[in-house]
Amino acid sequence: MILKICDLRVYYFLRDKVVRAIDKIDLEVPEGVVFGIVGESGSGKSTLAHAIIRLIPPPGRIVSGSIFFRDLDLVKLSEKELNKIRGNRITMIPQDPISSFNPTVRIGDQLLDVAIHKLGLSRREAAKIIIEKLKLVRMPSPEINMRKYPHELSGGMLQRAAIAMALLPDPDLIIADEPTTALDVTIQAAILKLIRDLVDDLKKTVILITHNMGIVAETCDKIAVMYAGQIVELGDVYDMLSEPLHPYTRALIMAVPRADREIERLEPLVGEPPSLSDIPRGCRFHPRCRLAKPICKREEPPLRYLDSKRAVRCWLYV
Amino acid sequence: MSEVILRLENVRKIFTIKREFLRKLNLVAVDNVTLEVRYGETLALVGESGCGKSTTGLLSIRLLKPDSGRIIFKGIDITDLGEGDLRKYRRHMGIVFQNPYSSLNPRMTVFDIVAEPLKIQKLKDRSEIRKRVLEALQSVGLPREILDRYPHELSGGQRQRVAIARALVTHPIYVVLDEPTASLDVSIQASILNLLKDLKKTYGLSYLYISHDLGTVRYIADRVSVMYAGRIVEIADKHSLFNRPLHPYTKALLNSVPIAEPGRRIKNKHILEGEPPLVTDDYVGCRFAERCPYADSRCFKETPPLEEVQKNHYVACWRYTT
Amino acid sequence: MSISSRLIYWLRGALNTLRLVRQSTLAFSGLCIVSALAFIAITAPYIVPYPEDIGAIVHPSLINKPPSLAHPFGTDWFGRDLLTRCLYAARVSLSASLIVVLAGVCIGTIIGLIAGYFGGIVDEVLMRVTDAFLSIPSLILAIAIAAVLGHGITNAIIALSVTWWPWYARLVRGEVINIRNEVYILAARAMGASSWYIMFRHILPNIAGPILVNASMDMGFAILAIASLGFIGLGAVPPTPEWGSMISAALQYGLDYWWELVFPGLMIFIAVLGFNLLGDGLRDLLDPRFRTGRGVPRI
Repeated sequence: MILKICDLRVYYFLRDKVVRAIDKIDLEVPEGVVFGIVGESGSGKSTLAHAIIRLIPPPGRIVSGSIFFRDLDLVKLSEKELNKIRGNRITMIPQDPISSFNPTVRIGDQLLDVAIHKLGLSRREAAKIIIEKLKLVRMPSPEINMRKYPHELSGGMLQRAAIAMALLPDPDLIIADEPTTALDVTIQAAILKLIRDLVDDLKKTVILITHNMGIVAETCDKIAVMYAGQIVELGDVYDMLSEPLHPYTRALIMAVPRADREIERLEPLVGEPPSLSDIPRGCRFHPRCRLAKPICKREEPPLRYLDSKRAVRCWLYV
Repeated sequence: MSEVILRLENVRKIFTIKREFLRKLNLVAVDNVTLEVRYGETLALVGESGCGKSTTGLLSIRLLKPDSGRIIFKGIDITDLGEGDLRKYRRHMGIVFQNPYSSLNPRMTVFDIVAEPLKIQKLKDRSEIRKRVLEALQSVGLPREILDRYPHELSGGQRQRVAIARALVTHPIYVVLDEPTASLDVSIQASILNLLKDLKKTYGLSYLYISHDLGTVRYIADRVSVMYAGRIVEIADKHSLFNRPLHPYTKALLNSVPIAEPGRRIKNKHILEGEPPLVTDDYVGCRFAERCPYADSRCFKETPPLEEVQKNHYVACWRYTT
Repeated sequence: MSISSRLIYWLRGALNTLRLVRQSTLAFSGLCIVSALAFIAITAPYIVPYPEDIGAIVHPSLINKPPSLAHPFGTDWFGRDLLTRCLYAARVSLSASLIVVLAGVCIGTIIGLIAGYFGGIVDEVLMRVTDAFLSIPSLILAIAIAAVLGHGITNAIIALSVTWWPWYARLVRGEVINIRNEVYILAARAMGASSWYIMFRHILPNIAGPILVNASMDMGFAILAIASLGFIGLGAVPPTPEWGSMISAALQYGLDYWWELVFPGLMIFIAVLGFNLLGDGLRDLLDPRFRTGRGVPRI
């Protein structure tokens, strides 16, 4: 296991309420996979990504739980120790590559900056490594594009540069938070293929956060589905897609119109996701669930493992 | 063939951007686009960002004026009409924008938002206005309790329903849907798509459905036109387009869409490299040639015309023209 | 939509704003000062202890007396009660400043709206005219107007108003350009709305906040400007009490009668401070980050 999260809770303490953005998350990420975390906006998936590297903006706080990276508990580390891990062993690929670069500095200089100051390389070594990484992410003519400013590159090329930056310290774990949301479908496919290659060829581990079931289906090995701050189902991608168990997972797959087949009528989910400051009692999904039983309204189901790989948080499987 | 409600003829739109000192760049956003929306049909306009699909949508209801070409709405040439003359056609047209967070004025209540088109169309009778607003809200499935609410008090799905109610309150016959579900969560998207389908049937609407999402296009459209770098590269019935796409770009696009199907892996996909070109007004050749695996020297020199190569299936590609 | 439900909504909003104002100590103190001044300005003729001292009158026995119980601020060189005159001067200063700022807001908003909304050549022409006005120094213009039209508060107001509006034109133009391309503006155009309709129905309400904040801060500057003009003798004509001219008159006697300098000065200080605090507070309130909305924040 490269990452093991136990009973993680992240709450936002607002003026007049507490937002439970992440509640009782247990998760294990094995080495050398693309691990997908799927959920809609407000499901807590981005908060989870930020919690792993302890970058929760105030008034948010990790309330309890542990995050083991190999055998280090990241929650207990001092800020100084954490900085040896963050941006070094664990790096991030941003959602919006345009805003993640400084618009007034050439791309190459921004990469150099990281290589020289964070990794302590000499200028010559740094330049060599940067070209190497840019080639790795299939940046067209890296020597030329390095000298350009962010606004002179397209979104797809910037995202490649951002991935190159994430690869500079040769990390073990890369967290990609909706890395293709801002990109077009054809560019998206190229970036996803690149991310897949990081795992297959370079033996990295990637946590891929997305709202798109199609993306996880094609890219990930394992997935966890999040709803209202909790994991409702997790397992291997093939099993999850061929037989989704949790009603929410099923709805996520069934409610999306498909380009590969004709659908007469979509079955939409009723209602809207709950506000995290006003979470329903019992199972958090029960107000929208067609299969809700009386117990679902009263008690919260546990995340129960059906076998060594598959777990689901639903009273139907207890 | 059924009657045509809206026809764009060789429409061209150029945006001039300033580059550096005194240098200007004429970018062709929409290039020689010809298309028809027929009564009661949904014509989808598919393409990636910057391909000119939204500009085409705005041109079709004359929110932009084309640099050349004609726009014919219900048999009347509205290309050169002034804002005053256009007003009497405006109530037959509607538009729903992508982002319901920015398309509703944050300082107006739901009632004021939905009533606004009626007031602009000089409807004075207050009880009539109220009746029409309630009717519109009901048709999009919103309760009358939200009349006094402000947009920020509504969820994304509710806001988009308000935006749809606003577009429909004047009983239009032609509605432009500019990525109406792109900023909504997947669980909300399906209900909005179903609503749009139902409204079309109930009120006999014709849609121009603009989207980059081929899944929703396949679900909602009757015919599909594919745009690339300002030009239409393929138009066909939904079935022939999805089952037998002809243009290499359409094929690549279909191949790129991620689909939640077990066993479908990105590893096994052929990925289209490169990116769409910036089209200036002196551009020659097929816009897709640079990325096209089949491109030959002719493709770089001459722009292929849109031609009917099978019945009701139009393609702009030299491979299919004789 | 019933009138009563809308009224209730507005009242709720107003109460909510008031609650927020109270949470910010500075804004609340600003609001208190400004309301107190406004109250004084409106009721001055009725609340001052010696109403007859507002005009030209001499009390030979009371000339230049230091503060006492009967005259807390002391008396001036005609023996008039200084408290009375200081309070009444609030009426003069505040109303003059209000006219200057209002005139500036009205002219500036219209020019800025038109320039920002239509853009292009209209914008170029209007903004160059604005720049021309911006380059006129208000004091020198005031002297020129006084020379032509004579002294008096009215002419001071005219001089200030002429040079005041360009700031608003620039501010409003900037704000308009920010929201001109909002999608709801495009939506209104799609309904067939005219440019005027869009400007007044959609754009103006959405830029009212920044204008209000600036106007509030500006009241302070306008009060200072009126006082400055009064000080150099281009403002209110005696016997009308006005803080600037009171200070200027007191200075003729040096520092012997300090109260005649300090109290009008203190009034100016409090008035300027009050409006600045209120403006600062309003700006914080209108900043969406400061608001606690009814929805869940995006996380």
